Amino acid sequence: MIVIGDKAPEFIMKGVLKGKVSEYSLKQFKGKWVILFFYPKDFTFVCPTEVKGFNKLHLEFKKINAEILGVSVDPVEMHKEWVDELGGLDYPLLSDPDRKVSAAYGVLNPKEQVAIRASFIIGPDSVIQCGSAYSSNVGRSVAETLRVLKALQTGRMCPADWKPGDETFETELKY
Amino acid sequence: MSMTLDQEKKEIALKGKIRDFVFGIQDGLISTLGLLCGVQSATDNSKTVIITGIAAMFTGALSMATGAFLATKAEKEIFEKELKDQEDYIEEHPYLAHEELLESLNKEGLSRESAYRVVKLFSKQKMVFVRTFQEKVLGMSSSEMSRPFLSALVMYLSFVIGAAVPIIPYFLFNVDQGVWVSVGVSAMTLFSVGVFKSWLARKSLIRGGLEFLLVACGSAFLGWLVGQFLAPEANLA
Repeated sequence: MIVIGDKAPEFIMKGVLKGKVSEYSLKQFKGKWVILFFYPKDFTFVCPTEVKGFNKLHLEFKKINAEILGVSVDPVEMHKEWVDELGGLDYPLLSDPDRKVSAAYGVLNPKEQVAIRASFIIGPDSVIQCGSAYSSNVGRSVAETLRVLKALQTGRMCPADWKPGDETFETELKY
Repeated sequence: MSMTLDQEKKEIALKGKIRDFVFGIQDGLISTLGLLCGVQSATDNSKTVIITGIAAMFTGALSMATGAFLATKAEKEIFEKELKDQEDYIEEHPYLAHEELLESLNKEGLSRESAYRVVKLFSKQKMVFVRTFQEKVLGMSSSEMSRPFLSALVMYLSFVIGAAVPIIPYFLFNVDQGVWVSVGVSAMTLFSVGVFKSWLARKSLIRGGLEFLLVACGSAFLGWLVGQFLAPEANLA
């Protein structure tokens, strides 16, 4: 079971970005923040809102040194078609056909054999800082992911519902 | 195909009424035949048999017709409620509804990509999506197929026709001969109805005819049996 503070499992996956297929590994993003989000399937009606949602705020993430990677178990050819269907994406969709990466991150639904809806915020030192998972019917909030990322990046204590501009705390409060 | 889609739909709906037609004829014929076979073994008077038959014919026809009307009406109302509920569901959870239709098409063998595109296209026109969803996912056909009054009418008329068949011989023959003619003519009628039904369904004609016939013989026999038991009781044999 993945625990916050664990080193993020290393991976190498084929992915597609702007029509080009290449290999993506975790270590090529060392020094950057990575938003690794898993989703069940291409060509569904619930997923695209998030995949596109991340795309909308893509520049916001890039501004704060974060890369977005989307992962599903579908083959890379299907990702290509899916990206076309969605009208293009600015970040890569990665393919995990043998389900190894999904299993390593603890997000594989054993019955359906697809990834559940889960996102991880991985720090520049490849440590998992945040993980969240949702039931299949609920779309994630991309704005929330961005907010959490910014809070994590302050490196300081943030109170509940912190947003940029709010104050943070110096002391390391126990609880 | 020279027929328009609308005409085809109407034709299919009419063929659906065949259910009421066959039901009516066979019920009218068999119940009356059974009744008359019973009554005739307890009397010598053909008038008695005829009057019994006619009474049974009209009461039976009315009963079947009302039944058909109420049943079809209930079916129609329940359908319409279900359809409305589904429309609301689609309104409140469009993504889920789209996904369900996608899954249903996918399950039937359409690739995910194609199913996605089809559903996306359908969703451009609300009623198209709603109707397709209802028909594919829920297996509900249009409630226009249920027409209570027509159902009742077909049932009434076919019952009367069916019931008339075993009665008529008693007008022409005395009771002892009449019963045989009645059974014979009824058997032939049932056989023909069976053949007609098979012709509509494009199935084996002879088999359809024989199926019907077997049922008739069974019924006539049972009716006759009842008559045999009651006759000594009524002291009339």
